[in-house]
Amino acid sequence: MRVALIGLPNCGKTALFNRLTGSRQKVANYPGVTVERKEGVFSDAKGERHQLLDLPGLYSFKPTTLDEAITRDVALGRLSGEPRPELIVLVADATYLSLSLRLALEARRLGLPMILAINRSDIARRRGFQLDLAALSRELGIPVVETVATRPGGADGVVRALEQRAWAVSGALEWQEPTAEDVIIAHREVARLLKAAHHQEPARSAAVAAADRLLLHPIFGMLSLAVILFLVFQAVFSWASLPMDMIDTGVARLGELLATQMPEGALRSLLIDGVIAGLGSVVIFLPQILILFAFILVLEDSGYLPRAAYLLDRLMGSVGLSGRAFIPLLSSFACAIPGIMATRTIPSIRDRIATIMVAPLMTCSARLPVYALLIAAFIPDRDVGIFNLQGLVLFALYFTGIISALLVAYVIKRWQGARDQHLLMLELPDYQWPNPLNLLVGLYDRTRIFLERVGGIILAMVVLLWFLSTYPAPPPGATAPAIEYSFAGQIGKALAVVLEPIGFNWQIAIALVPGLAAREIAVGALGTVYALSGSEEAVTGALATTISAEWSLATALALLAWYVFAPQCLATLAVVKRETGGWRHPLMMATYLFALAYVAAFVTYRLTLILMGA
Amino acid sequence: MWQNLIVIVAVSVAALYVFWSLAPKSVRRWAATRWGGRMAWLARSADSSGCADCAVRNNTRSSR
Repeated sequence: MRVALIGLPNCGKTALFNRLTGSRQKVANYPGVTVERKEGVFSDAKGERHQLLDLPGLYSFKPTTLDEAITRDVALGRLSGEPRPELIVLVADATYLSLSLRLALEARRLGLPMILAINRSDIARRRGFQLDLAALSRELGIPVVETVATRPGGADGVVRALEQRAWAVSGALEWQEPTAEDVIIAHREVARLLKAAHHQEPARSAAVAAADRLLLHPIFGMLSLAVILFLVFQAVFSWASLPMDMIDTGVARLGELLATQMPEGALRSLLIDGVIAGLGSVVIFLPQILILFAFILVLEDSGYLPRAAYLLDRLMGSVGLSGRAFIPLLSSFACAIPGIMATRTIPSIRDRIATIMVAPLMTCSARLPVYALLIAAFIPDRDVGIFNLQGLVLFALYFTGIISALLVAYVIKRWQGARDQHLLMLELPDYQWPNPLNLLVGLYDRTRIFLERVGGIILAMVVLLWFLSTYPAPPPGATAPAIEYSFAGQIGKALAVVLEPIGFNWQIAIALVPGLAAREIAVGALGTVYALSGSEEAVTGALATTISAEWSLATALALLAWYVFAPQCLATLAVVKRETGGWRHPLMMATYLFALAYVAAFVTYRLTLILMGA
Repeated sequence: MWQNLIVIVAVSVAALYVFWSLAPKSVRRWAATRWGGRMAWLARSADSSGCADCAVRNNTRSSR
């Protein structure tokens, strides 16, 4: 039997799909669009095999997004090449039933047999929700079962209902899209159903109501958000110093050990000047990345993030962005790629393009090593009032990224001449203590991603850069460091002509070339370049000390300004091409971001020189 | 001598890795079609987007 899973976004549909099918699943795209199609198989106790399709989440069968349109078309058998399902399993979140029941009433009109799976029933029961499943089943005329998709055996109710085949097709009506009047009628019907099923929700506690009054207040809420973000960036610098010192010492010891144990030669230079100097310069930033993500995970798990989305909706609306752009832009703080992919939930194509175009301006985690290196090298570690100056500068860089994104979005929307209005609808979950297991899993994943990049593309780039910076060997009688005669040295000096007006030297120019693939590679590249330039400090891992001696403050600030804007990530441009269906938008994005980076670096460099009286 | 050999192998592998990671998907698919039968990892990595973050987010969402 062909079974389709349908439900609201985030109701646990995909978890139920994974619970039922295990690893027997196939992931592809629907033809011609970038909406993901997941199909799997599972067997019931009688050994009968069923095909299971996980359809994109939707709020209504009157679609407002591409995802919702695909789900409606598959359910109606309108999508060519996609056979119509024979049964629907409608997944509802037990802690938020009313919207799911409205969807179930719409789904009845599809004319397909249906099972209602009340998911997360364990959490609902623990929190004091009550529901008479038999009564709800009687009222709806379909089987209603409980599921806990995250537990082994948690989907057994669905399998048993499938075996019993106790459903009747109640939707003899002809399909028509729900009208506004239908929605009002459906809301009344949902209220009646919940009453008949003796549904009871736990009363909202006074403490939660008081917390919401403060955190959602137009002024105090924004102040609270600013204080929370401030504390996060302070912690990134204050808490990370001890583990960073330990990594630094470990890298330095390893370099010294190899230097004493290995004979002079190309392999020793590759390991010490290339691999250890390059990778050591990047690995040192792992503690700061983990501290930042620990805070993001805690805020996400505690239920605060949707409230931040609500607070910022007015600000987003003032520059013409949809409230739905908040989640993609927030995701872009980790990496612009999932952020750009998350824009699929934005109904208006103009809003979607505007959001995609500004997503790379949000400060992704790959920028953190560059920012942290330059801040540690050039910004004094002292207090300003109750705040640490280095944390303040990091906060200012993140803030500049956000403000730039809003300004660019405003310009794009003015240029498009569009004035679309979209209301933001989101559920505000209850506050809860963050789950330590979720936190640990999230930090483990983040560590794995970082180390995979260090051991993969960054290591490969550093080895290549070592080769380009070592060969050809300097001519006999040469007095300058060998790197100046190498391929990389020549390339760096050629590029330095273009980059000299913004204060960049040829070593920075060399680092920016491999840094085009991904931002953090530039830090490893600088480590290798300075190690080969004969800097002992860079060899022993203290790259920050080297650059603070070699660069002026104006150069460092100009490089920071460059990194706020420069689109140095090929994977992001490739995803923009895939999501927008052509090269036009990624090319426009690269052009405007490089132009902004150059102008910002130029202005920063010149202003700093003027202020310093040079 | 053997040290130089290791360096040549390391630099060649690094160059191939960088080329494979940055090559357009069409090139990777072409290579996977041609040699993927004998090298399963080649076929598997042809479709990867290079975005480790996306894979983690999918896993996190699935386990919720």
